[in-house]
Amino acid sequence: MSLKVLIVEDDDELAAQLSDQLRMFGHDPVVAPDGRRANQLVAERHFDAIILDRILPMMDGITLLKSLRDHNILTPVIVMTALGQSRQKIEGLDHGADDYVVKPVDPAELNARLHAVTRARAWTGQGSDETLRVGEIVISPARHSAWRNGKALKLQKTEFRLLTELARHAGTTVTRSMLLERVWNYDFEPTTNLVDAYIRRLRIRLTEFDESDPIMTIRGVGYMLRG
Amino acid sequence: MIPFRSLRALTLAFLLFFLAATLATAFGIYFATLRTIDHLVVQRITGASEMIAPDGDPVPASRLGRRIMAAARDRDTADLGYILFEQGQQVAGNVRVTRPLPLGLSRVGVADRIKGLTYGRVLVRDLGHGMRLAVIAETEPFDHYDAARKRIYLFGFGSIIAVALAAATTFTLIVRRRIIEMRRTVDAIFEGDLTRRVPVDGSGSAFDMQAEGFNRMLTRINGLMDEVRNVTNGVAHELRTPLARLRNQLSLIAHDPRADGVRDAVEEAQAQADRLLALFSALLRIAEVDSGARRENFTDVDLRQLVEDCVEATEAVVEESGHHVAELALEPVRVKGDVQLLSQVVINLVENAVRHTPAGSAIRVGLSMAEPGWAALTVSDDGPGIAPEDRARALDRFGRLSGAGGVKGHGFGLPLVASIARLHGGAMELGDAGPGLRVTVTVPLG
Repeated sequence: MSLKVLIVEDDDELAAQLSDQLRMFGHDPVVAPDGRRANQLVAERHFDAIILDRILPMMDGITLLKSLRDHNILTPVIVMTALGQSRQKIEGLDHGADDYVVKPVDPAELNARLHAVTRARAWTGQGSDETLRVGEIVISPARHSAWRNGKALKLQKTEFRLLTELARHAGTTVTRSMLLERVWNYDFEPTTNLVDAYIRRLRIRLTEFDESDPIMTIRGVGYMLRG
Repeated sequence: MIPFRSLRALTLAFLLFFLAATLATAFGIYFATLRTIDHLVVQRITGASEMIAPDGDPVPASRLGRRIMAAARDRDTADLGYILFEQGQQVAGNVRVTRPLPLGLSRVGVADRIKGLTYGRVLVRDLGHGMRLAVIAETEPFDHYDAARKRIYLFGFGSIIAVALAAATTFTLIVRRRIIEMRRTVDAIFEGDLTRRVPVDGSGSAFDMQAEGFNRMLTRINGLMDEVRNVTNGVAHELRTPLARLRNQLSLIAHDPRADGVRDAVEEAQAQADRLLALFSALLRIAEVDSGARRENFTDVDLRQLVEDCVEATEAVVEESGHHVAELALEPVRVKGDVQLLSQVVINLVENAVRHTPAGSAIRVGLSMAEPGWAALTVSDDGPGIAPEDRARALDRFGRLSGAGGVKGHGFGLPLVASIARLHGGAMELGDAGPGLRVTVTVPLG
């Protein structure tokens, strides 16, 4: 899926590099070097997503984000922050950002998150307790239960949340750090393959009755639940 | 003199000494005054007695009687009492006594019921021929003088003691306040706020000079710390960017269909780059924790729930590596802290136990209030442990133990845990689980 992406970044070199990487993933990026130009571009044409640097000349990223949301522009926004500024990450999300990434950005990670934020829009308005259906899998967050082919799955708390997160993004790749943030609520990377180990457990639970494995490993990036 | 090292003990000792000295002085003066008066009175009655009946010059009783009457009328000697005894009978005089008076010097008092006399001295001389002459004088210049004297002493020396007490208290309070101010600064600095300084009032006093010296030293230390931090941060950031570019390049190559034959090698290179990036992340994380900025994220944390969640989060990893959590003894404990950092502590310690012990090892996690006001989180294993002499090196940021060379991980796990414990006002300690390693993290209760 090709996305029209606005990159708001004052560092020319970094902006060019990001553009190249996004093009490689088949997207259509446009660069705005500051907040004013970004405002103009947003007013002129449609973007599927905006990648916003936290620190910009003249108007900082959060101020720009607030002004966009104040003008009812609801384009998904991913904020880029430097490492070790976790408080700012939260601040960014408070002001209407959809996600954040830490610089230097891994292009595969950014691509996965771009897909996630643009797809997640389809969810807006739906209650998070709504029953999810992905192929043979049915998940009821309200009842904390899941079934495959009508057979109840025996899932422990974390396994259930992991499956729910994968199901919410079925058909798109979910990266390990996205899972850490959303299933475990961690803002740090554990030094062991904590996510992989849980995915393996979840696979065992899902294939208990010799069904095919519904979870695809996207090498070097993350996982995807077949849609 | 070790007992006087505390300010309170010193002040108290000074006050006690001062009190003793003042009281000794007061009593000294009091008794010296009494003795002087006594001495003068004795001299006076001796003189008066000899004037009436000179030694070695026998005078008939009738002449003595006239001399006594004359002395009793004379303005100079009229305040003295005179009694002439003949064969034990009072035959002349201006006062009467109810008891026999001993020969020589003795004392008379209120009990003797001599009119107008409270305390006094009496000299009785034997004049020969069965005659005795008693001369009495008061030692008090006027009535109830003793009470007045006591009052004078009480007020005089009492006020001196009061002034000294007030001065010592004020002095102690001033010194204490200065010390508390300095102590607060030291505490703040210990907790990571290197910008704190001891207040200076600009008076140029000895205290001020000391505070200024202290502050100059802090500024210098802060500068050095900033330099070190900047270098660390700078290096980590500067190296991360090109490293991330390299990693991204490898990632793109791995996604390229033309890389089919070398994909495994490329992915291994990518994994190595990831490990390096993780190392820089850990370094920057430690720097972030040490800067104290995360203190702004502190909230009320249910530590038992947090530990439970973290143990569950690592469950799959623990199981896959052939380990097991043998014991989970958690008491309900609440602390003030950063949820993310505290989670990282538990995850790091469990991961550490998994990484450094052979398959089949048991991991024990405990949370208790070992000491009043303190929460103690312990993670122990029954693996090889760390020898006491190597423990300090395990906490050293670049002190990966030699035996652990083949083990994965960046070696910043324990130093990061120690930094996080410090940020929360606590500490981390490595101990012996007999056998195995026991890591204890103590944090003050919230």
